[in-house]
Amino acid sequence: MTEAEQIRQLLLEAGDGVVPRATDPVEAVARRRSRRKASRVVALSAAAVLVAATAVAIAVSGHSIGAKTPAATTTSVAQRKVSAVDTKLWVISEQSVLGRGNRATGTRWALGPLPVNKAQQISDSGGSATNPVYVIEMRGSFLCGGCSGHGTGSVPTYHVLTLYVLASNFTILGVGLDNTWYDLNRLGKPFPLVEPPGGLTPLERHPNMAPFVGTWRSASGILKVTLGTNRLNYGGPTCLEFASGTPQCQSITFTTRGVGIGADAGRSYRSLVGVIASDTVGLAVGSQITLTTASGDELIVSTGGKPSVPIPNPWCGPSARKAAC
Amino acid sequence: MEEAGEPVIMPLDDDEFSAFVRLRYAALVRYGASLLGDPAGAEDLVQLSLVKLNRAFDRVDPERREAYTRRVMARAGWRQARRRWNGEVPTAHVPERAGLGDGEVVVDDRDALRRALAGLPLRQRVVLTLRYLDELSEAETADVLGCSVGTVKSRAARGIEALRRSGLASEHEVTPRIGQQGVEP
Repeated sequence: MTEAEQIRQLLLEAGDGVVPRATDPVEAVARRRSRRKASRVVALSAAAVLVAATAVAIAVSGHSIGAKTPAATTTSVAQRKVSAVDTKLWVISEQSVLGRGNRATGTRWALGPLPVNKAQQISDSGGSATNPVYVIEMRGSFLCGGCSGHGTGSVPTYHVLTLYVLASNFTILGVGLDNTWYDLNRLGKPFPLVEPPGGLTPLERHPNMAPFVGTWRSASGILKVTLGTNRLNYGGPTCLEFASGTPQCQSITFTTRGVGIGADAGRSYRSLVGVIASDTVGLAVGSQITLTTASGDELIVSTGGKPSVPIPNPWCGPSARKAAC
Repeated sequence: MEEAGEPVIMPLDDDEFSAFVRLRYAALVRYGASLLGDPAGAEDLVQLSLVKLNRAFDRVDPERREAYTRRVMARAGWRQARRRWNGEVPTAHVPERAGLGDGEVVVDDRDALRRALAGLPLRQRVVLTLRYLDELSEAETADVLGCSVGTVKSRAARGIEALRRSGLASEHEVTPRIGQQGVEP
């Protein structure tokens, strides 16, 4: 027997006859994993105590401490680097908030990509998801343009906006409006969405643009918003610059889930008070809009008012294609 | 009833992973015993490695899952050698006592070899396991352990030398599969 064979034999003998103590190895591994998770929680708690102690020390020394964000009181911070995904999610959330003529206050939180079944735990708005989604939760004042029974001009306001964003292509799958903050910690480790440092066009409504909330009237008196892709054509400036830097020219494509909340799909409206999600950000005052639904219904929308000044070409923005402008 | 302070056991919901654990657990514990020379420590090592595999289970090629686990075990064993408590090694054999004559202690060569192997420093043992049991080359061993080829060579040489002193027959010395560095023209 060679030396190598002898060593191999010795090593094999060391393992031979060893019988595991664990009668159920799966349970043993699960128990071990739970212990590791518990130890992490202890470590996080220790870190939280340290942070709290530091804050107290700063307060005692006379420095002011910023008030906790509403979200921070119920959602713990998961440290992570700001990635491209974070930036995309932030832009999506920003467009969604400002597109509704609203504003978000405090920290925005995101979570994901979440499996479908977990996203559905929050709301039925994510119910039709068949792929992993990101969940974004924001606090602020959000108008519900698509809520039923709003022909009177009073638009209900909610304080928590939840977005469901498909992880595969970052399209908004559903929007939820509520007054109750859902603790995302129940589903995983949420991370704060913060404005990326520079590099993005500030998403502010141009003074020449129409208000984001208006009353629309269907040409037939009844608009049936159906599932599928609906197309919005409008006459106005040919190109507009959006926060994402992507120019939108001539037509805007959106889905019914972009109208109000996800529950809009399949409902009929005599009038709509609201917005067409973020895509209306660039609409100019006095624009004539035709909404053609997937079922063939058309909705003539006037954003009302008159442009106070001619719409200048520079609206096309630096990244827009010159020919299209 | 569960003790106070005991973490709640979260069930492993992945049936495939559970099946893998049930199927390969005993073999992995035997491998761990070869690696560490300590059956109890081996089981700990296997469980910790399986927890790591659980986190990466979906990412790991199904055919490479056991190799992945063994790699995690080898690395953990290699790192374990740095821990202070490793200085005390539990043993079932009491040391030889003074006053016993040569004729009163009968130790065959095989037993001396086993004890020599058990007495090897952990890192030497890990290297020998990868080189001779897993038949990895020096370069592959270095890659698994995250150290240099020179470290692998020196640890292996010292381990073999210790075994030779305990009676390892060296007349037909053959090294296992040789890495590129060791290939003779």
